[in-house]
Amino acid sequence: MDTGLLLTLLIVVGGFQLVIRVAPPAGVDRAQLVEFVSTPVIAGLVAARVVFVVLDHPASVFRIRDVMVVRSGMEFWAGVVAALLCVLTKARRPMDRGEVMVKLAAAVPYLLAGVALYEASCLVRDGCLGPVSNVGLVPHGLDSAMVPVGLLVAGALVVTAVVLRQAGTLEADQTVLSSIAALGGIRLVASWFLPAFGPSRVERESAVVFVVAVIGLVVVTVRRRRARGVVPESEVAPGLPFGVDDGEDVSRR
Amino acid sequence: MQLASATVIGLLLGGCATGMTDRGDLVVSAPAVRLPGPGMVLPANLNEFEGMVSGAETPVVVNVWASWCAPCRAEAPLLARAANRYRGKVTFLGVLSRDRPDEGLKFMRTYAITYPSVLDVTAEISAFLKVSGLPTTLVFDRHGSLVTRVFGGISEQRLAASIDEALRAP
Repeated sequence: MDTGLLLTLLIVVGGFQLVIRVAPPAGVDRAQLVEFVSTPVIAGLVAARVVFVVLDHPASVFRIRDVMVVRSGMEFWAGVVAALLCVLTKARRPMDRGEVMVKLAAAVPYLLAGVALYEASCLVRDGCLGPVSNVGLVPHGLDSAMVPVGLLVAGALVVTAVVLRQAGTLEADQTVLSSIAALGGIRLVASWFLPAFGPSRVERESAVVFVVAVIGLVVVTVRRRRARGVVPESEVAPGLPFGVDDGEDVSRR
Repeated sequence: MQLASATVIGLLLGGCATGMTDRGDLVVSAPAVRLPGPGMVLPANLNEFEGMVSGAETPVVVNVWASWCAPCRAEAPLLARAANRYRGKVTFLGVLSRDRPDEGLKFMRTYAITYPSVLDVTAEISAFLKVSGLPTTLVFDRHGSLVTRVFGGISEQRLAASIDEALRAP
């Protein structure tokens, strides 16, 4: 029996619960956070697998047993898009969207930790193996040591999660965009070292996501700076909180 | 730091790899037999199968499969891509097990599999290869010595690593 799916689920779900228990989120209720991320994560996982099957072997899309064979691959970015759409659908009004963005920013380090756990579970899915090297893992059944690319990706994601959790100066939208850019960048670099028998979708998609997220981050940052610069302190109407104007992102409120 | 240490504990739950190997567990040796034509399914006995593997003069990837097996369908596009990628350097050979040849041919057309398969009528090939479930993938070096055997669906990384190790074998 292929236990890769079961072990992956155990690692990701168990590890996520452990992370959230050991390092509880500041300012957000733990149960609320778990409830907030649960539906989007499930939607993301389902979308990631279904889109992969549609692109890779569409004849299997209506066979539930084929779709369940997760070991054969997941379309990562389709999952991320589905999860984000799920989050945004929850927010019906612009004010809700600001609130959701703040919650999403609080969840970002934990989501990154969850992705890190998924990447680390490559050990049970046979998906870690990079180039042959003197230092690395010797996979079962082989003689050569190989760079455990999946584990290095997991490590880089943990570092990113810790940095974003500590970075108090970023706004909610900047935190979310930074995490997506980091995720895209890390997966892009990893794709250069992972073997592929054909054109690598991971490389192409990660490059697009990285560029779009970086552009988004620059646009958001520049707009915010401009908005702050346009309204000098002396012209702020009495009674209005300083720094809040029409150009300000709603997530600040 | 708490977040990092908690995640590291989680990562360790992932287990660790071992250095065990299947190398030399099986050596195929028989007078050379020509492979069936591309995309064909032909019945073969154990002696003929061994002749196909030992006569290939390149590393050989043997995939034991059936059209009704879900992980076989999931890994089929990967094997088809790998066979195209290593054309001329590595020989790919399927072993259709516990299945009808017409179903096998339909499967091969659906997934654009161009390498041939032998029909394991008496299950002696599967027994010889120590196949305990489907799919199973075995990689032999150019001398017919087993490099590795993977039970269950194979990943792109594992297949690439196994083929590279077979290609590096002296």
